Amino acid sequence: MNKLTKTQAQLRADQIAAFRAEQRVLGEQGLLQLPEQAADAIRRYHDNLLRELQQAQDVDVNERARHLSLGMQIVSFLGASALAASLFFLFYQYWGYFGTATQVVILVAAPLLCLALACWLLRLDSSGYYAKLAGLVSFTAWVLNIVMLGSIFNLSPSPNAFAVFALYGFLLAYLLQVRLLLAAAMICSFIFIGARFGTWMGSYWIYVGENPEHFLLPALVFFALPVWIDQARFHGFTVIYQLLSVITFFIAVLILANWAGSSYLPWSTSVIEGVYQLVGFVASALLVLYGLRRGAAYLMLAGNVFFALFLYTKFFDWWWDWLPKYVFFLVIGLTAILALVIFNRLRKLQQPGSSH
Amino acid sequence: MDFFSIRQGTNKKLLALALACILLVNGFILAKVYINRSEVIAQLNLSERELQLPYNYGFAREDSSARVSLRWMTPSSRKVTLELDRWHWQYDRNLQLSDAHFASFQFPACSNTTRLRQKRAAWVLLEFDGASYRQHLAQIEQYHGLVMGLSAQTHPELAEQELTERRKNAAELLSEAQTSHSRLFVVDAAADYDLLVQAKQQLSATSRGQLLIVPAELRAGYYRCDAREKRQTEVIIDGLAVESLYVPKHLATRFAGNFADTYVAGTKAEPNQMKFSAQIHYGRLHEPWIADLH
Repeated sequence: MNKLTKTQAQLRADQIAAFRAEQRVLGEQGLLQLPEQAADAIRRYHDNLLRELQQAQDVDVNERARHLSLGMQIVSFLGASALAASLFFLFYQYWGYFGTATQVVILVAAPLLCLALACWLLRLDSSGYYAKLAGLVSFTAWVLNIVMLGSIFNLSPSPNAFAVFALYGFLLAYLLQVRLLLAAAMICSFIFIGARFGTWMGSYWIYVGENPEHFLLPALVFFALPVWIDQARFHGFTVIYQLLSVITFFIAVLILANWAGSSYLPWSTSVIEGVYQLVGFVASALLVLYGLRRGAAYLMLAGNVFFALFLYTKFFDWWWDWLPKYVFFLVIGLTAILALVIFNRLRKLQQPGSSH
Repeated sequence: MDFFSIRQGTNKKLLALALACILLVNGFILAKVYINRSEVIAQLNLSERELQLPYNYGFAREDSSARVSLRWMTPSSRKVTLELDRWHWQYDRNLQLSDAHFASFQFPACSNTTRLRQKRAAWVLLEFDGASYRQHLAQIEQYHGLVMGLSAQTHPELAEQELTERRKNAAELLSEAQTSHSRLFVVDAAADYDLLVQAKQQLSATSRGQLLIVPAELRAGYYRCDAREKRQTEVIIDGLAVESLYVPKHLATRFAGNFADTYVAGTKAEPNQMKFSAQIHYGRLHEPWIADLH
């Protein structure tokens, strides 16, 4: 039992709940009448199992617990954001009253103390919500640490700051299993890698956002990372890696497909935009198929959304000025219906007992 | 070994790495600061003309720290005419470079259709209270003379009220140039530090001002591919790498009643009216700090 990850434990709990519901329906219809002794043994076994799962992995054993769990996640996110903002303004409010040595000590101590607090809370509370909150505050303190040191010693801005933000973010994310920190660490990595690429290409690093091509390779690497390194032990990490990578990749391609001026490719504007439009269509279609094959609904949804975005921006380019508006929107509506027909067919193919 | 013992082992390693990350990165930054400040390679005595007090955009009540920003200009290469406006004299960031210095940035050829205005990290040569400031003063005096020479007879299209307004503005501009315009000028730039060292040596023979090489960021000028403009070697200086300087507590508190009040207590003084001078040191890594403030 101890070998189950949180995701697997939750699936097991869901499976038990589904079994109990189905058993109840079959019993009501007179199709299944288990001997009292066997039914009791199964119930006891499941009760014990659910208790163990709850203690070990803090799973939600029913729908109400699941809703409360979601509420706790939202509240802890808001709490972490508010605590981070509070820490930020606390530093600024009293900063001027401290001498340089005191400032350095406070800056270095803040992330260390928050980290110690997070580890202590992790031992006290099995749900990990409070530890995660402390972890997020530790990350904020770390960002403040680097930014404020740079500020008080007038250091030249450097993209390396984002590398150390990312490094600490990844360490905390894996230590405390915080998806939000993983996302923050990934965003910092994108900025760092983009800035480094920019510097190698001769640009000034601070304008990292002006060159979307910098983000394509890191997005692909992060997308493939959960395939190379199994993330099953870390609840929801695969989704964060792949979804954030997909969003970054397609936004970069969408910009390049409409604004070739930001590309490094030595071709004419129309060729560059055409190439990226093609990349956008093909990659989003492939993502839908990949998601379908892996049973990853979030990838299918992302692929659909970006395919539609590429299609509609193209329609806008071609027909917005040329067609009367009612025809333009009619075409959009008809393509949506066509997509609906295709998805319906795909859905039927996925149903059990499909003849295809 | 079950899952939880694996988790505990991994957690200990992650915790150790997180601690090492905090301590090593801070150690590295502080070592860098120590190396920079271990030797003063240049020293500038600037005043409120070159050091601007930020208005904090309504953030002053929340921010108790004090900072000043370096205010600098570039020499104007444009012909002095009546059409030049006040903005041009104070905020123009264009700089004409020699062919060799411009070429050092390796901007894309004008035959490229994209990416013509790439930004670059650069070294710039700063001149404080030297020939560029004298030239700036001379140009504004010339402009002032042109405006004062206007009359209803020579320019009948100008109404008397407009003439009076122009004369008043020109007189104010001249007064500001003499008393409040920055004397810190970016006079040259190159991607290669050694190129600027040579330029500095050449300029030091003629300029009475202080010269200093610092890192900056710039971009190619807007007209470099327009042959009619004859500004093919022009760059736009976006900023110095370090423009905002932190005022340590022991210096900020010397200004009890004015400077410190503006920041520490968050009161609304008129920062630009305060008179002060600051000794700015540049260290081995070309990073500045305020050594003294009066």
